[in-house]
Amino acid sequence: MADVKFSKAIKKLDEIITKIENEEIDVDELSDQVKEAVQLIELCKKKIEKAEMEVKRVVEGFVDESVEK
Amino acid sequence: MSQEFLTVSALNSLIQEVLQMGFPQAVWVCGEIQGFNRNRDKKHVFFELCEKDIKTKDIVARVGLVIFSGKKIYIEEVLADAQNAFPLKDDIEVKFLCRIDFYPPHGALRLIVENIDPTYTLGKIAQAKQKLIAELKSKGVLDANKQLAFPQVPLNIGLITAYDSAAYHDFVSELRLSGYGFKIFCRNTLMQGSRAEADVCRALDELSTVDDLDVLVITRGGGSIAELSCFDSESIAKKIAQMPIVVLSGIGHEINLTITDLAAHTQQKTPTAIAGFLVDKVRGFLDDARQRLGILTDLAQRHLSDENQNLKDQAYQLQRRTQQYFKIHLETMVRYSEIVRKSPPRQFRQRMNDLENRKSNFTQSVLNRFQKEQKRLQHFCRLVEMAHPKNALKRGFSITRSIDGKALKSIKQLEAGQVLHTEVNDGVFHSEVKDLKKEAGRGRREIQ
Repeated sequence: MADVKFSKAIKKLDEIITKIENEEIDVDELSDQVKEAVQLIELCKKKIEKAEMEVKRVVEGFVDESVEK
Repeated sequence: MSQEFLTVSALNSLIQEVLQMGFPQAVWVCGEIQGFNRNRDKKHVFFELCEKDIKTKDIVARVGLVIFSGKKIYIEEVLADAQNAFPLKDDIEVKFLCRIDFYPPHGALRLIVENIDPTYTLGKIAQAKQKLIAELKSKGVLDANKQLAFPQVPLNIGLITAYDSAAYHDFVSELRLSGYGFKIFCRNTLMQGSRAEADVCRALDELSTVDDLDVLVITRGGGSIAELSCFDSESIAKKIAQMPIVVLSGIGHEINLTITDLAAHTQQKTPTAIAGFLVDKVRGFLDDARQRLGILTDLAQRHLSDENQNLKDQAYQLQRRTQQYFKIHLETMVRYSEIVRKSPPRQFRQRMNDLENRKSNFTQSVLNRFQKEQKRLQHFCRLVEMAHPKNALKRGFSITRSIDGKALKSIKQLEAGQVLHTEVNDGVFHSEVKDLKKEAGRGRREIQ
């Protein structure tokens, strides 16, 4: 699941959330779908946080480097 | 009378007396010196003054002169007082104060030089010089070298001066002091005297064939007008005019510029000044180059710092936008989390409620049904009750039965004499059938 691309995960998540919001999911499946949605949310959050940290690190490194010159 | 005669000596003495009477005082005589050079070293100097035809230059008159040894020293002192402006020599015009003398032993007229007026000669020299300057100028000789572009970095110098002279050392030490990499190609040259002019011309010729020289310098230390007069030279001026490179002159005289100075591209008074001029040129070039380099460096640095700032701005934008992007997505995640957290339980509750509702609906409907059924039942009860014979008896109806207990509904069941039991509301009575009469259409039997 960690290998899923962010955009794909978001798309899947959007689908699930829309269905949950619109109450289109059978009660039998709801818990499973909620479980998947939570996993996807966690995954997406992790990906965003990781990417954000990475970007921050790269940009700060770049800015520091250019200041030193 | 015809026998009277004069001895030569008497004649000469007579002539001498007549001349002395005719020229009681010394007179100023002007003319051009001739035959002077040949007896320069002798005790007394014998020479001639002559006058030339202005146009043909033929000698139209000449006279012999003598400077006695005693006067010679005086004359030299006078000339020295005039700053040795010129030496006595052939071909110059002079103005002498002379006693007119006749020398009996030789029978010769001669002028004994008493004094000299140097200003006359100086004037003549100056006139001649001005004339020459005008002529050279009109021919463009004096401007030719000035047309050449001055080299930007005059480091390679062809030097025309007397090697090892004070002028040479002044020049070289001034250059050395600058610390710049000057290279000097010195042509040891006679810088004074009658042969200087030709030697300077040869030196110019020779140096013009040396490769890679930037400028030529003609220089010497200060001297008298006479010493420097060799540089009032038409041939040097013309030679300078032909030079392919810039010629500088530093021929030390405070007041008068020589023709060499005038013909040169640039002129300074002393060897040191000429060297200083060259040093300034090089320094100027270096300063200019440094300034340009400074400007260039400034521009480059400004440009770089602009670009750097630009990059920083873009990096900031990048960071800001990605943060924005992340923020939006994180917010979405939070929103989704909320939905996921709240929506399903709500849905469960709702379903549960639905279920409850349904249950209660169901119960209600069952109850309703029961009630309904009960009502129907009651209705039926009432109907049943209403149908009960007791009630009919109360209203006045009665039930008549045969003995065997059968309710009588038709007269056909009856026959006369038959005993009947009749039940009324509050008791039973017995009767007997008397007559049977069937009712038209109904088969009625009359009971009694």
